[in-house]
Amino acid sequence: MSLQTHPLPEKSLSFTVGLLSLGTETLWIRLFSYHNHSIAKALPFILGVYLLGIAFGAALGSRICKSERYLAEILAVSLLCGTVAISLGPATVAASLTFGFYATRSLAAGLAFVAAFAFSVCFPICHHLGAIVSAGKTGKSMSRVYAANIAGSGIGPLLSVSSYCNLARRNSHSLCSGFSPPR
Amino acid sequence: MSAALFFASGFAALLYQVAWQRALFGWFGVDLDSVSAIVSVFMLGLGIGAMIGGWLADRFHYRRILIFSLIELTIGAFGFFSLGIIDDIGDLIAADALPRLVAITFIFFIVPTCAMGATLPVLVTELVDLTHNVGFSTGALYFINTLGAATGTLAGGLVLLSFYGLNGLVTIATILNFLIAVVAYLSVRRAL
Repeated sequence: MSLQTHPLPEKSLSFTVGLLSLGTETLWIRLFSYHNHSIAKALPFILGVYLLGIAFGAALGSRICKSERYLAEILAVSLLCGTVAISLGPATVAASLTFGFYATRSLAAGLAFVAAFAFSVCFPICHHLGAIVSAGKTGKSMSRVYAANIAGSGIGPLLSVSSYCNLARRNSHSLCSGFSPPR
Repeated sequence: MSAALFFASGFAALLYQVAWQRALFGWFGVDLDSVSAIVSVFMLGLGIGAMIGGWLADRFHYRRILIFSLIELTIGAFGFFSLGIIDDIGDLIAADALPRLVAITFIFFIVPTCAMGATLPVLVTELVDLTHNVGFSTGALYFINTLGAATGTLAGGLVLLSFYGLNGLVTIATILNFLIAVVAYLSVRRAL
């Protein structure tokens, strides 16, 4: 159940969870900015949806940590669910374009919520597995796992912009050109 | 009471982010590269703050709530002057290249972002002393704080900004920070 036999998996996992969460958030902001014709308006909406997903995912993760059962397995399944949600996201959104502006927007927001929720379930679990409960050490050990998550969260958006967005620019332009409000 | 304070702390933090991100669009322009650069700079500050917060939580384990109060006071004090300073610096550096803008943004926001990053480790460590469960404590506090953050983002970006503008958003956030600091300090005094 514990991953303690490896020296760094919890911090690496925490880093990966942050990287995936904020990296994919950037991609959703891109999609919604086409939808709203403005990044300034898309940002608070997608950030709000994402943060709600993260909040409720953390709440579930907290309950799972309280039971202390199947933590590694749940962590793996959650990462898989989040990855599936972001992988299927663009294609599903594209397929829904014919159902209208608000249906597409709701579906995209729902998928973004699911991805954020799934990744966030991992957040408390990583801390539970990676931090040491010991007088004078809990804060430092917890903060290292947290800092690894934040490091991933910082690099994620940059990677998304520099790699994926440039590679997929033409495809996403094609996809998002149909993702505009009714006139 | 602690839950309400940490909810308000998350709410205020995202009011600042919405306001500062809007203000920084004047420096960086409004595109995805700029948004990503600003988010990454903020995250770097939060990460450094998290490490400092963990150290503070262990070093001053009898005064964690007082530290939390001081952190909120620091954020509020910075927030109070933030928009004016962003405007003043922006006038001087508007024509600079992106790497220099990113560096200046990092230096300018290092204090508030570090302070925001330090709050979770400080409070989680305090809660772990009661629960002896890091995952439960982290998840519970992160849920409350992020729920406040989500509410702050949606309320700030979609409602409050339209009615009160950037100055109004920052004023609301500053008042919240000072209130949190005072209530946390009073709770420490009462416990003594």
